Amino acid sequence: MDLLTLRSSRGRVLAAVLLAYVAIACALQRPGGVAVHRWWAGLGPVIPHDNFPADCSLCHVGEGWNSIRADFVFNHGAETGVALTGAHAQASCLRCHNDRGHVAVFASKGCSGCHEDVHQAQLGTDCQSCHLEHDWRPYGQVERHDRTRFPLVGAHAVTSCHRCHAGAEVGRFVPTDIECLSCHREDLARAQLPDHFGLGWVDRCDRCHLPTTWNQAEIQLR
Amino acid sequence: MKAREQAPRKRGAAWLLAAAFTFLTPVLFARTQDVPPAAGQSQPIAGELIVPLRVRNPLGDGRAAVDRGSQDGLCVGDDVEFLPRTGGRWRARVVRVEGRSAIVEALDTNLVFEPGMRGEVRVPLSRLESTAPQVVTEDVDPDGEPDGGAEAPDAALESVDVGAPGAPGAYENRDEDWRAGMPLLAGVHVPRPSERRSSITGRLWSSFDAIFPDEPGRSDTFVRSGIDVEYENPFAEGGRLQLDAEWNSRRTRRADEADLADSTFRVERFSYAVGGTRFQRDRVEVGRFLQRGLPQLGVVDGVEWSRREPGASGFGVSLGFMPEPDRDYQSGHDFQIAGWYRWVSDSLETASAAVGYQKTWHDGNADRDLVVVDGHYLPGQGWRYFATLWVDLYTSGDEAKGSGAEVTQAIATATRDFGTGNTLDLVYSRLAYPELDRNEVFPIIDPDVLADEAVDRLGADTWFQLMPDTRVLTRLGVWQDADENGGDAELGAELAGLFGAGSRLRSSIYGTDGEFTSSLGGRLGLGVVRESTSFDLSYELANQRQKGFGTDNDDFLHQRLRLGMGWRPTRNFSVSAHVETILRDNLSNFAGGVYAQWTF
Repeated sequence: MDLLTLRSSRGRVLAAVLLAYVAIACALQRPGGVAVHRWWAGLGPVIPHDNFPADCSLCHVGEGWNSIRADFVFNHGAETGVALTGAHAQASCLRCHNDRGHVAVFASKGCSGCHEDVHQAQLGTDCQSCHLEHDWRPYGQVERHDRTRFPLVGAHAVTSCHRCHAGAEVGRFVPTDIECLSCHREDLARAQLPDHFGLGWVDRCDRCHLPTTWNQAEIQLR
Repeated sequence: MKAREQAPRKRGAAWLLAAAFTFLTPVLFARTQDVPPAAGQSQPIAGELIVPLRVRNPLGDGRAAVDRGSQDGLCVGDDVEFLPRTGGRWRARVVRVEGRSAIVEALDTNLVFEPGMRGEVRVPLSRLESTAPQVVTEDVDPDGEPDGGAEAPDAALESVDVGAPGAPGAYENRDEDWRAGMPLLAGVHVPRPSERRSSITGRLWSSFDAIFPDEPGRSDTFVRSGIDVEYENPFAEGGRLQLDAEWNSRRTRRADEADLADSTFRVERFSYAVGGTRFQRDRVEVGRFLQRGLPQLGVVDGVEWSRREPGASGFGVSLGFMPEPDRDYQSGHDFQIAGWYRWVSDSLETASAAVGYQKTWHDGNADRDLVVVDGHYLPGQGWRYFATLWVDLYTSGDEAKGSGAEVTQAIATATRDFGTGNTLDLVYSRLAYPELDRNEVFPIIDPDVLADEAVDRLGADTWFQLMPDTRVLTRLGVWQDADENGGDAELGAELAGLFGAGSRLRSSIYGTDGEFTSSLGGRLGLGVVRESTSFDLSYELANQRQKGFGTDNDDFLHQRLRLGMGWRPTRNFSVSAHVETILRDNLSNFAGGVYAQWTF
């Protein structure tokens, strides 16, 4: 597991390989590419109209047909094979089909193709393991913690996320230390009966305490 | 010479072919009247013609657009019979007619239009005769005199000019850059930002969460309210003004101590961005925003400029202060400059690799040198890869780490969709603590931990479609840090439709080996999603063992029961709520919350 620590020789080799890959990729870059639908080529509507009815008034109103009728309904699933569910069903067409580029490019990247990653890429690309399409409220965090080195048990399972993840409100969850004192340093300072500092009990809290209550922890009898 | 001789012969053959076509067409047309019509063709019956049609798209309120219009003989008031696949004949009436389409209105309120739905309408033959399409004789003569062009259609077509640009009703060819080989319909005029209306979209939301642990006098409440607004094209130049702000209020009641309470208002984003579209290759964003080029570089109060090259690759730079990533979002202590370059393989961005560098100063002192490497490979089929590395560069001034480079964070995923519901996801992640002056690593960490701690994790998830309505789930994971190692495993199944449409019954057994705790248990859940409502009931039972504790009282029975509900009464409004109880031996904790969101 030291492979990615660049202070080791293997880590430096890996870094060199990565840098070489990037250099080769840059060198192989060529201008040109697909002529049709290139990113800023100005080649027509951002929403493909090729198989739409010829009568623009079915969907559009106004000069230049740039506005959608107020009573417009489009079955995205039936027409394109990609069903829109949750909040996406109410989204404006131009939220996804716009001048930034071809929608297939963004769709291929999954959620991050259109949605800004407020977690700054730290939590991976599988957004739907924590979020639903109806709203952004995360779900299943207790189950998810069972897949980490710190399963949430006892009082920890009903503790607000921000108690341990101070950046939770702004989408930052890592890094977080799992040592007890990272969050319970004040509790240690208040522990006077007996005087924990005086007895030198300043680490390995888990030898005597259980994470079942907030204050009076269960004590192991030896 | 030979070529010159052949040219008149070819012209002669072409005239003969045209004459033959002219004379034979009526004969062929007369012949086809005797042939039974194929599906989709009109059928004459006793002075009427049955015109088949299809629904192009439903328009709501019991109306739909169909693919036949006045050129097919339809008139306002005609009755249409629809024959949906589910059976029955349903009546609708034509309320508006265009040349090649019409709008119909259902006469039966139970009729629900669907794209492609078949129907038919009876059209009197006399109507077709009177509305037979006329030969286009629109002339091209500069004098404006009609000249029945039937004899020389090619000449007429070649010189069509329906009016001078700018004249009322004149057609103006505004095709852009169209060349042979491009899709014909895609080469039309693209509305420029100056031609577009501005629009405001966004959402308002509020949530309330409360926790009542099994301890007298203790509770935890958390209220959040926020607004996200996006004002698009405010200055008719394609820009975007965004505001995201929220208010938080927390209160923790404690039995023997003073309550903890705080309330904060935070602007998470207030920025204006322009460019970065196919019309403007340069993009500039100013204000408070998450950096666009490489979001790994974080939020800044400043400016970011980027340029997209013709091959879809790009580069950019940014500078500004970095708000501290906690609920206060305090800014002004950390200044950063950053630059990045992204290589993209093609216009569909099948492969991409980016490298960025960020230099920060904390209260004027040099702090972090961060290199971010990011990439993806997303072929249409097969494996799909994402990867990001955060590499911190340390100098001799970094006492805990020492000079050198270290991968402080990494995440790489490889996913494969085998079709028919079978998927495999592989994830590798690494997390270490960077040595920073900036307040980004919140807990106070011992220098030894800062220097040595790192956790690596490798996980694999599979979904296997056992039967059309049954999926099997497996999850495996292993982790290792400086002191310990462990892992997790889960095996489960999901049955769809057992309790009606939209229902899913889940069950699984799982085990986890953590740093302080190991668990072995099972989960059972039932979720139902309807068009405007949803609910989810789940139950968890596990034996949790506290590591390092006495062997006679280190096992605990853990139970968790959770009920979640969602309601979307309108397109723009939704409410969700949950209640949860966690039981452990003789202790019980309760939690609940409600969330409401209105989009506009």
